[in-house]
Amino acid sequence: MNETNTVELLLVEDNPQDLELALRALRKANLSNRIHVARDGAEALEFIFCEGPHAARRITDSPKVILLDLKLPKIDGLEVLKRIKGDSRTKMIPIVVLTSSKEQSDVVESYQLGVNSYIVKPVNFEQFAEAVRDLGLYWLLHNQPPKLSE
Amino acid sequence: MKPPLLPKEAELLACASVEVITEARRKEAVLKAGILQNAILNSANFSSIATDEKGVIQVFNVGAERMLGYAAADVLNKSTPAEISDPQELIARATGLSLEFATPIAPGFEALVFKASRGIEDIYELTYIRKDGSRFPAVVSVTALRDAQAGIIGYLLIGTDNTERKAAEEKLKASTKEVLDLKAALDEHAIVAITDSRGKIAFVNDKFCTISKYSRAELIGQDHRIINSGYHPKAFIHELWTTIGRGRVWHGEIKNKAKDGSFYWVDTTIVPFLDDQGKPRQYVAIRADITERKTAEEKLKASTKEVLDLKAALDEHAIVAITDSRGKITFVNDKFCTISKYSREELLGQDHRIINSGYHPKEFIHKLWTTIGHGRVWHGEIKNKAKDGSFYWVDTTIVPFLDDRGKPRQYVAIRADITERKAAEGTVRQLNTELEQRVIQRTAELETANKELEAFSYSVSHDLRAPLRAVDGFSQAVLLDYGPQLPEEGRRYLQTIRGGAQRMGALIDDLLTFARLNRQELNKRVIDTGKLVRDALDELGSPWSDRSVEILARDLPASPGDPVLLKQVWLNLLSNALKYTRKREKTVVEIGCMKTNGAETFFVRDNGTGFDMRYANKLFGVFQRLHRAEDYEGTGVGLAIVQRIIQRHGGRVWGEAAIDRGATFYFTLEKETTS
Repeated sequence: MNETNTVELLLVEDNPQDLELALRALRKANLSNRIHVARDGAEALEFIFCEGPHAARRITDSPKVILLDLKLPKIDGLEVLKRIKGDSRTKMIPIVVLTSSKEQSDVVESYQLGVNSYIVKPVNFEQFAEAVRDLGLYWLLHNQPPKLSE
Repeated sequence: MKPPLLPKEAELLACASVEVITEARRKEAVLKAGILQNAILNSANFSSIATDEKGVIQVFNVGAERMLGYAAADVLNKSTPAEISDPQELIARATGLSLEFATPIAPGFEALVFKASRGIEDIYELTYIRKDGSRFPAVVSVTALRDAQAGIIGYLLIGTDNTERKAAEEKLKASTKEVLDLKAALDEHAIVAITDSRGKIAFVNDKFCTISKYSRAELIGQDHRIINSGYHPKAFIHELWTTIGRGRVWHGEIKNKAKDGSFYWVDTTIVPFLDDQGKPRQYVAIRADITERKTAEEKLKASTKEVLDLKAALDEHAIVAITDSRGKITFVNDKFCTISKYSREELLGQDHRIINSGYHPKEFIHKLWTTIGHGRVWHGEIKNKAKDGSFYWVDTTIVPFLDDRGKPRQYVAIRADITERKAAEGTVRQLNTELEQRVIQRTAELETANKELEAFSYSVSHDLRAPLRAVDGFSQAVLLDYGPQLPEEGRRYLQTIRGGAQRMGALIDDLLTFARLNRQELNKRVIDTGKLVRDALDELGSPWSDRSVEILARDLPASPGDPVLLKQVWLNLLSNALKYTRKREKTVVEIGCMKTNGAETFFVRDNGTGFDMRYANKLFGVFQRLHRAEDYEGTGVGLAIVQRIIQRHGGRVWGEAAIDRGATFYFTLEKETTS
């Protein structure tokens, strides 16, 4: 949560338990550095578009990946996805939807909006931890993100 | 021909007779005194010419002087009567007498007196020539004058002017000719027959023969029954005979039958001619051929009757009105009055605005008038208003009838009452509208319900699983982080908590799958069933890899269906089969297809634990289980899902089993022909 250092992973999650479990999984996988947590859609958009409390941030310092829940207070996940993927400055940021929803309509709409991956949170904690760990590893370590220009 | 006595002569003789009879004594004296001779000789109306035996005139009386214009002195002892007679007539008379008496007779005085000279009474017509050259017809009586020894000493020619009689004769001749001409003309023109008092035909003219096709010989002597057509009633014939039998003229039209059996009509006048007793002596019948007219009349009558019959039928059936060119009603039939509730008197002379309902727009009325005004037939449905304010509908045809110039002369409107049909149509329309409204409302309600259900499913999907994840996650976190510090029993409790959470997650997943089945669209295509079954088996993985399992799949025909959903069916049935055979030493699963009730029936048969058929009705209910969870795990949703999918395909699923003797599940994907 250090603004000065480049944030590598933006975790957008309103459910405190899911948030804690996710963070625990990332920590266990030694991926807890430079994580920023947004507790609703509005906060996520302020961060990405460097508004409000994040006005000092440069938009080009984008995270390597955004883990996005769909069911969020204020502005929901699909809207956040639409804004980020609809803006030429941010559309290259990889976004992984991580949600409890198995609804086909959510999956289809997410892909139509340009999501990079859609993961359903399993009830089973081991499977959940595994999914989070794999995601973090893949996107933070293996994926080569594009260079963003202002 | 014996000419009657001339009046003066008769009078004279009568007078003389009276003298002779009543005054016998004076007779002698009168004769002696020559009174009679003088009276005869001095009669101004008779010419008395006496000659000597040679013909030379000796006496020429006053009558002769008056008639012939000569004075006695002019002719006495000079001329003969031949000289004052027409010479041509003398020649003709001489020629005739010469032939009659076979002796030559000269065309002179001899010709005038030859018969008298033979003692034959001779009175004849003769043309005298007056002194001025003019002529006049005379009737002359010639008498030979004899002496005591009967020797002829002269001749007395007493003549009378025959001009008037001749004129009358000429007139009679002329009128006779006129009658004959008339008869000829009548014969030319008319069919004529004459019958005697008993009705026997005495005369027929040519036209009678021509029209009756009988010869004259065939007709004469017959009565008119020969041409009787049998058409007229007895009363008609009787009236005819009564009329003419009483001497009155009968006139009428008669249908007769010709010899060849064909019929002809004659306009007939029968005139009876009466005898002295006033009884009919004969009947003259004059006829004119009117067959053509009668035929035309009969045809006209027939077609008129046909028209009247049609009109009567139309009046029975339809509402009829006739209007003149300006739209004024000139005729309405009873049905018109009945439906409009107006009397005929109220309608005649009015135009149709009297029954205008105001329902139709002006353009409608305008179009109607334009159509019929141009002489074209208009057809349509009209709403009218009756006198009592009630409305009625009529299916209307208006036919314009045109005058010589092609302008409508009158309009005939024929209508049928369609009020009931219209009312029914209205009801149907209203019902349809209501139905549509209801459908729209129901659809909206259904959509709302669906949205609510979706929102509910979404919430279940999302929100119900999050707390389960927390339960499971933090239980695991305790186990991992603090496990060693917990007693064995504490660790087992945490594991049980986790198990419950996971089981609830599975239940939620199955429920959502089941709920989704209702709203998911079927995406039907022809499926390779064999491949579908292999895919399902692959997906199941190898939970039986440590078991002895034999899977027998036989001829599986292709069938139409939704591949995703049907794969779920096979997954559920096959996983059940493998699950309930777990305790068998050797598992045998048989997959196949057969025909039942005309439908392809797929089946999955296992040699597992089976079930009690008494509970078969519970097999396909949601959350219904026939086995305890500790024996065979499961949510109780699998077969409910199978049934829902099969039902949505229009098929049927059922199970057969016995405890410990395995189970067989059958399903069809189409309607069976018999149940």
